[in-house]
Amino acid sequence: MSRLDGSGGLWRGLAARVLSGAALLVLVAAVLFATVEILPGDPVSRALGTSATPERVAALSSELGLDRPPVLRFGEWLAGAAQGDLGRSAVTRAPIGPIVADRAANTLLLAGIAATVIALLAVSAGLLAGSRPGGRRDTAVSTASLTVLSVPEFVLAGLLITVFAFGLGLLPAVTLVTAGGSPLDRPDALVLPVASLVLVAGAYATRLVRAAVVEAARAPHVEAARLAGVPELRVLTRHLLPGCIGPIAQVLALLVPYLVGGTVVVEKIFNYPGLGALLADAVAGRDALLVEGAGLVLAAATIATLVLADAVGLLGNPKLRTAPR
Amino acid sequence: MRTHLPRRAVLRGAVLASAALAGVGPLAGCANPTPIPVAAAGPPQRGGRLRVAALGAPTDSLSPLTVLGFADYAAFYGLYDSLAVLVGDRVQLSLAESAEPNADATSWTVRLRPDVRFHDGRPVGAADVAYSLRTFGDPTRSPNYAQYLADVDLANIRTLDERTVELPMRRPRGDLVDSTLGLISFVFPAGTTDADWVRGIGSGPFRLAAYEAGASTRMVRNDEYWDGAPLLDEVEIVAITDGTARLNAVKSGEIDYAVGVPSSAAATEAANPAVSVRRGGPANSNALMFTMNLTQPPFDDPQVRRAMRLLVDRQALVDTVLFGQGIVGNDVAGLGLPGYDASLPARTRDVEQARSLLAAAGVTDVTLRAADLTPGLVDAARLFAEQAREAGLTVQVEQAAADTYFSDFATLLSTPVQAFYFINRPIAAHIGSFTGSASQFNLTGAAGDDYDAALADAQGTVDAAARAEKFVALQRGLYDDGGEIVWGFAEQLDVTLPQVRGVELVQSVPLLGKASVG
Repeated sequence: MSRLDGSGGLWRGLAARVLSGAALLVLVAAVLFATVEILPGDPVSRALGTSATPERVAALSSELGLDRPPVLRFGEWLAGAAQGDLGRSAVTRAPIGPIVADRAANTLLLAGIAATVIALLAVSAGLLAGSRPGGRRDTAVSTASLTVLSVPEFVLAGLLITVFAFGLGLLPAVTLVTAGGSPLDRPDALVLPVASLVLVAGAYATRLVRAAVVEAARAPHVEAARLAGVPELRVLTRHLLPGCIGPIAQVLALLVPYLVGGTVVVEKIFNYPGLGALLADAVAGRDALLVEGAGLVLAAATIATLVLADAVGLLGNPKLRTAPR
Repeated sequence: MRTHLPRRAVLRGAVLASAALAGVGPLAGCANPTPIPVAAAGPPQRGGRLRVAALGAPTDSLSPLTVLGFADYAAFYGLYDSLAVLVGDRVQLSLAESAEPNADATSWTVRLRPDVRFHDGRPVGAADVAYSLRTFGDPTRSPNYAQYLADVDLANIRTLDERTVELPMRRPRGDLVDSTLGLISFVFPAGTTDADWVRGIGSGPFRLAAYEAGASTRMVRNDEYWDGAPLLDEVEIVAITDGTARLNAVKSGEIDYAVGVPSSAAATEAANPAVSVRRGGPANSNALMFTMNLTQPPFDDPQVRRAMRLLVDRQALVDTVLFGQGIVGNDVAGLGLPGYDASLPARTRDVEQARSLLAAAGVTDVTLRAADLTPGLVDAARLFAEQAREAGLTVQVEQAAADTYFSDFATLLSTPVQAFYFINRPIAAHIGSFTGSASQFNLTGAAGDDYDAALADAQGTVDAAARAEKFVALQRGLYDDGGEIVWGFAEQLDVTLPQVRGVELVQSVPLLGKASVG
């Protein structure tokens, strides 16, 4: 008779996921490096502009070590990255690590606030809508989320700016961070960027949560609780919600790539000093190591979040913890 | 029990809601506008803080040698002085009290004005000037500017005394001040290394108070400034990479001065009483052109070049591509700047003559290479293609990527015709850098023994009037027969709050030494 070793299986499951996450990160790093290599154009000729004679380009490339074989450069870069050294920018020779760390902290702040608001919003709205599919609340929530989902992010952001910054004069249109300061110095500058991200990703998340809730609402114990006269709020929180914690965690984890893409657009529009804007500017400037450094950090954050969500799902579902022997 | 939503109800609701959302924006804008600040009157007030927004990059470094962004440029003109400066449409001596050539322009003597000090108290001297010029002229440290100082024999610069420097030249250059020093001649302390730039020690009207790369630069008044302390207490230059975001920042009052906004936005905001749109004029503009390569068929035929010039509807290009925020060009760069020959007849479009010239030469189609090196170049190429069709010429627009345009130098220098732009500079500087066999970036291939000799002769002429005449002759030659079809000048477009005064422009960069916010 097989022995079900609950806790041992849990740790093994978690360890397996962390390891595969790390392997995935290395793979992503390789793809990122290869993509930047294939991109036509290089920072040297961009920086030199009209002085970019072949001799000068060759000299500067050699000085920056850009003429060595790609595999060698990848290995060096990855090894350095593992120790926290992301190299130096090809354009100004400044170390990349501190720039990326600073910007990452800002994006984490923005995305963290947005993700919290989205989670609260999506779970509440999704629960309300999905608990009685086809009802009035459901129609309202679904209509609203479909509307918002249909409008592109930059249009939404533009509308928010027009109404709240120009029209009502309540909030700033851009984030101005003075030397040595942080975005928290002016908290009201965070409102519109967060609102843009919440609208964009929140609508999407609401619909996914709603779908998970509709599925869970089919369970007989929910119907039974309602028939027994349990107040609706208790039905939602005590009977319905526990059954969809796992799926909801998965949904919220799926948000992360969506948010990452959203931050690039939102940060550019509002001039928020985050990683998304850094990545966009680095690509435009063909600053290869900066693109790779910023990209690696974003990938690491995304993979870490997915692994975490997997872990939550693991903890919530006993069946996943153990392997039959 | 219903198990699915009535899709039609949801979709109908969504469409109505979207329409409502779209309508809210413009209505809200009218509902409660921000109060309109009144433009200042009377003498400029002392004091206050000016907040400037300009294009910057996270890897900026406050190094004049590697700078690419406007944010750092605006800081440099605040922190550092130059030997000579092209302000508006004239070159003025600034830190240099005098700059005189010898009889045959093979050597220049530059004398500094007395009693100027760096921000750390040290006096500015000849050794600092020598070091600064040598650094700018070093191609390994200063890839952007070394070409301008190529004719100065940097290794043999001598300091004659505390305030005097002797600059031997490799070739006779009577136009050193106008064409070189006036373009770039910041002076920084001798021995400044790459690690020192972030301290911003110069002799300029402002001292560096704080700097965060790619984020913001804060400068405060230099009370001991030799040309009079600035009116402003403080200047803050914030890096905002997106042009529309810069404009929005002024409109919402967070920024006083936005350097560079899209031309479509400038056209719209001209009617907005809450902000002022500053057009830089031709002296602060980009010269937009189609460059034909004289060494490549069919443009080696002067009649074909003439036909192309007659085909371009310049006004239409300026109106469409620049939204009217520009000036029509006359095939010669340097409009509004010293040395420009304003007597050149304005080109008029003549489709019929172009048609007959092209027919005689047997040319029916050409390929025009274009990339958006600056906004609008590809649109201009496409619009020109339509204009050319009227004469029976088929212009194939070959669109290229802007980021890789400079990667293939060989292609760049052998493309028969391409859409291009140059920062509008005085004609002597422009043709000195970009024509002739000595140029490393000669897109039109305008060269040859006669031309080179004429250019060298003009550059070596000491007497200013005689030199101007020779450059006029060169301009006429290029106007009649050259490869640049300069169709327009895209002016620098800045947007400010109305109370900002006294900002002058140096090659599109704001000079803040005499600015005020009231």
